[in-house]
Amino acid sequence: MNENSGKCLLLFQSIHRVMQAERIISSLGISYQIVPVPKEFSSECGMCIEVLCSSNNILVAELQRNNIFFNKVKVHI
Amino acid sequence: MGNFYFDNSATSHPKPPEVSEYINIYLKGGGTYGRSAYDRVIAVSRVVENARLMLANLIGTKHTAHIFFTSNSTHALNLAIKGFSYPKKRILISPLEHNAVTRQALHLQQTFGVDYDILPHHSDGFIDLDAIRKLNLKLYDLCIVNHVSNVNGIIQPLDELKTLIGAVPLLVDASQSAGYIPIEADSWNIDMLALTGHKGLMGPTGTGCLFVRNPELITPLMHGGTGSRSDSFSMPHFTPDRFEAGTPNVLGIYGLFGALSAKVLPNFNAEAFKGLLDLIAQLKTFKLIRSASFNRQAFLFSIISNYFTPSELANQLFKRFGIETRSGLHCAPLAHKTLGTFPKGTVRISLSKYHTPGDLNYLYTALKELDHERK
Repeated sequence: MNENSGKCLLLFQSIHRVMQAERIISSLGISYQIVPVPKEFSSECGMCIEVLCSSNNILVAELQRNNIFFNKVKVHI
Repeated sequence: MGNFYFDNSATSHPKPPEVSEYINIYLKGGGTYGRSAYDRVIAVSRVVENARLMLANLIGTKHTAHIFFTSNSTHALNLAIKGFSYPKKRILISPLEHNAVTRQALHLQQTFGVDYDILPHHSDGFIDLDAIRKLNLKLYDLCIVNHVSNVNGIIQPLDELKTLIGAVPLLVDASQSAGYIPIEADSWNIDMLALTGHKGLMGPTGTGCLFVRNPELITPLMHGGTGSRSDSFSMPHFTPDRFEAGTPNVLGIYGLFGALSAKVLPNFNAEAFKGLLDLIAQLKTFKLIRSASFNRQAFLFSIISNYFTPSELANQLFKRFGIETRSGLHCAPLAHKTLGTFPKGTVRISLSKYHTPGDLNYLYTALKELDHERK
């Protein structure tokens, strides 16, 4: 399977960062949704952002430019 | 009917309609901040984080994650002062500090042997910048300054002061300045800044924040759940979570968000305010307690009377004219000692952006009547 196909989860340290990232993703016009953090990825009890893996390049650059650090995991269905 | 509430330094009134609008939105919608990912929580988290961003913009910092919500300025100042370390056992404080700082300074002295010196100043409490140059700044761990005095309304020169004190961290109490006068935390290189949401920002009580440029400077005041790193018994090392244990005051933050969204412009200008001060200065039986220079004067000041005690004068203003003011020491005995108004205190007049030139004239007319009766 191509790395840019399917859906990816972006995991952040805090709700603050999730909301910062949401503002950026929204301003880029990228399709996304906020979903619970799956327990297999983290002990967080909060939220993460699901995007199409194909939107990664521009998104990663913009989040890094804003010093928003995150982990990306591919969703396997 | 005019607006005769002149106690806005205690708490602002009226509030912009957006405050109750957003409080009602929250009361109807409910939800908490973070911890889950259903729509109600996402909506609340957006408002809380937008409020944090607006506060960062208001104080001129790009470090949004270094803004920590607190219940008021006192809480924010406790987080800063109690979380700081004092290897040199000596701090500087301004001559016009509120008890939110001075009572903590005494606590530091009695508990940890940390002494305080008062910054050199002029007779109106304005910091003497020339004298700062002669201080041995290597002696000090921290410098604390009240940006705007809650007694005489003087505006302290934060930018110049920080340039002079250099490496000594500067903690600013912006309780009376935030929302009224510009703050540029990044360009002035302010290290820490405490503010409250219910005064100049016109939000609800129970809201405030602390900004810390380098969060390594302080340790958390409170420990508890943050909705993050829940597998650990330790507080997260990242901000803002490290300094925000427990569910935040979401209801209050919604109201604060409404206030910050309101963009209220003053109904009177500096000329009208200066005109009021000039007229009161001509009344023979009153003395103005204010900045020696109007350029350093915020929208609050004090008066004392040759005939009335502060409480009598406040009572006369209220009973006869419906004017609400605050009398006494305003929780700032150090400021009154500096200004020569201790122990009786003053009557404080503090304006709102909602006041009109007509309201200022009404206040003057009431004072003039009291003055003429006693002349």
